[in-house]
Amino acid sequence: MDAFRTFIDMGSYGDYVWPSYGLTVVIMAWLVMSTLRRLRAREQELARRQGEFPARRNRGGAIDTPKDAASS
Amino acid sequence: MAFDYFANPARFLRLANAVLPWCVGATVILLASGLYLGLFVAPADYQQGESVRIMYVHVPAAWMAMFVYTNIAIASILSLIWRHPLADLAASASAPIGAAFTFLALVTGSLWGKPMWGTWWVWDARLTSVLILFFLYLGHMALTHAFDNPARGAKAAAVLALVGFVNVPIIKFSVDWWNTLHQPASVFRAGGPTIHPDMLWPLIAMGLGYTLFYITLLLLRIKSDLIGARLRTLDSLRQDAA
Repeated sequence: MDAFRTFIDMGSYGDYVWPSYGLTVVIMAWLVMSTLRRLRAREQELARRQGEFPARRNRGGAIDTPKDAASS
Repeated sequence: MAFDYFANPARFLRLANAVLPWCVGATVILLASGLYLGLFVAPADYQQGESVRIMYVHVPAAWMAMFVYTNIAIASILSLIWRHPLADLAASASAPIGAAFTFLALVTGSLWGKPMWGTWWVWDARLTSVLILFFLYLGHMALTHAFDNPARGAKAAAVLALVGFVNVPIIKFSVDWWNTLHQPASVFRAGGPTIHPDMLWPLIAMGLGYTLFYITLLLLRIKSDLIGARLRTLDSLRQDAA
């Protein structure tokens, strides 16, 4: 326990050393999480859209497709 | 042009997906060993005592602040002159990471300065030029998103990145050119490192760990931006169809 307390105390510089390490961990974790969150959201959005595209074409029948609309 | 745009990102995504697991693994191993060496193995400094351990998070953050900015400047040249389609994405994906590292360098430096210099902050050349670097990053991020047309935003940000690059050598050599409380370089200096190997190794491990951390995030962010571009294309297809 004493060794642990000595380690935490950092030769009385603990008040400066640990906030430095703590902030580094927080900022780097935030970078990772914001990056992954955005990537996941976009991947899901893309999967959703790619699923809906053929469905849209079929739903209204041939007349809804741009090609048919242009030729009629 | 359109062919280049869609051909290169596909190749890029294949490459990114192949190297990403290795980048993640190397980042974790390097940061874990760097933290272990820095906190448990490296000795206390004969003048600074245990406060010197702040160096292992402060110095790599400051290296990254300059390294990431240099990468943005290189990407800006590739974008402005050769119009490489991935260069703008690399620059805009790098800027928030570089800003975060610069912020960390400033705050951990302040936390180190208080016990060692007796002050949180001085307006000397090193500290001021790094603060300017932080604002350059913020300006780059603001300009990137300031226009409706993403290409115009990327171009304006690229010009800012190149004009602001003059600040990078000023940061590097500020400790030699002007009087400052900040200590001079002890690793990247002519004549080799003056720092003891027991302190150099954890610093190298952390520096490489930060670098791979940046590369990992950069690849993930470019991947995410490429999907975003794909979504915008789908949007315009849908508008054409409607």
